[in-house]
Amino acid sequence: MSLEEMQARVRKLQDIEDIKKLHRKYIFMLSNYQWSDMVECFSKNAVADLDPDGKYIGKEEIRKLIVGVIGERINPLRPKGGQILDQPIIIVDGDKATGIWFMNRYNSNDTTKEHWRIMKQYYNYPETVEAKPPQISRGKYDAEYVREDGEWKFHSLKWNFPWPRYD
Amino acid sequence: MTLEELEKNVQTLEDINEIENMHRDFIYWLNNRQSEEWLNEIEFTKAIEYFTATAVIEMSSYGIHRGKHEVNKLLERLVSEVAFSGGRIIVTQPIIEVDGDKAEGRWVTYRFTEAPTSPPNTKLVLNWEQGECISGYVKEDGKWKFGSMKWTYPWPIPD
Repeated sequence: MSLEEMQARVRKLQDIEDIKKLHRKYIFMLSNYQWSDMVECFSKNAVADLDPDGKYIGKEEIRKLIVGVIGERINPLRPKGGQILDQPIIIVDGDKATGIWFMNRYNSNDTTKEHWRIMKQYYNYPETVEAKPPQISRGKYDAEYVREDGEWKFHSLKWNFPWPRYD
Repeated sequence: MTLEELEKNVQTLEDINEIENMHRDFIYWLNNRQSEEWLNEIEFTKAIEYFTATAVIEMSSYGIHRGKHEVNKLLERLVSEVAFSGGRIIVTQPIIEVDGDKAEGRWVTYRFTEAPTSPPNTKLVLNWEQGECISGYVKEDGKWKFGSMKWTYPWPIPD
């Protein structure tokens, strides 16, 4: 094997680690209410499709979603819990890559009514279930990454919540 | 370090990454039940591809299963039983040791279930259980597969 071929293999391993770092950093910033910093994880023409808020195309629209919608909904003075991101499967192909991640959300008792409504809808819980949401709920990320100006960014990010769902 | 030594080290890192991806992919498959129709129509051909023809699975209350036929039956049962309990499985903290075309992995696993209790005083009950999964992996035709799997839960085993 030539040195060039070896460099390409090492480069791919480094890319996988860099991509994991990007996605973990994004979730760290979510937990830490760094809304504007989260936006910088997206490429210029990225698409964000985050349950339950829907699809936003382009970085400036994504800014409206993250800073204006999600950031306004979550009150840092009344934390609603946290999340752990795990089980990455990253596949790199040159300057593009795909990723799947599992995320557990840990909810406090005052989790929003909207969150609880979604959970009941997808899991067909009886209406008589008392309005206390589960302490742990789960979702899945389907991501596409792109190398932009030498740095990995989200090209598309789909947050499936809850996951798995019963259709 | 020579180029040959470097190549060997890189190969080990690639193998670890491929093994972790394969194991996680299997867990996504196990979790991804969506509807009764999906469950009825599912073909287990994809799942069985994760295992060698002579694979052995030992799973706490389910016992020991040898070879593709028995493994297939176990997977059908697992998916059916977990499917509508609101359950899901997580595997994390992998420790993978590679030795040529064989490898061993140790993972911590979590199995969560949540379901409403019977009316009239219905409440949502969440249970979780920690487990340990020790897997033997084999590279067959350039692809990593499970050669063995010992899944113990609860873990650690209570005295």
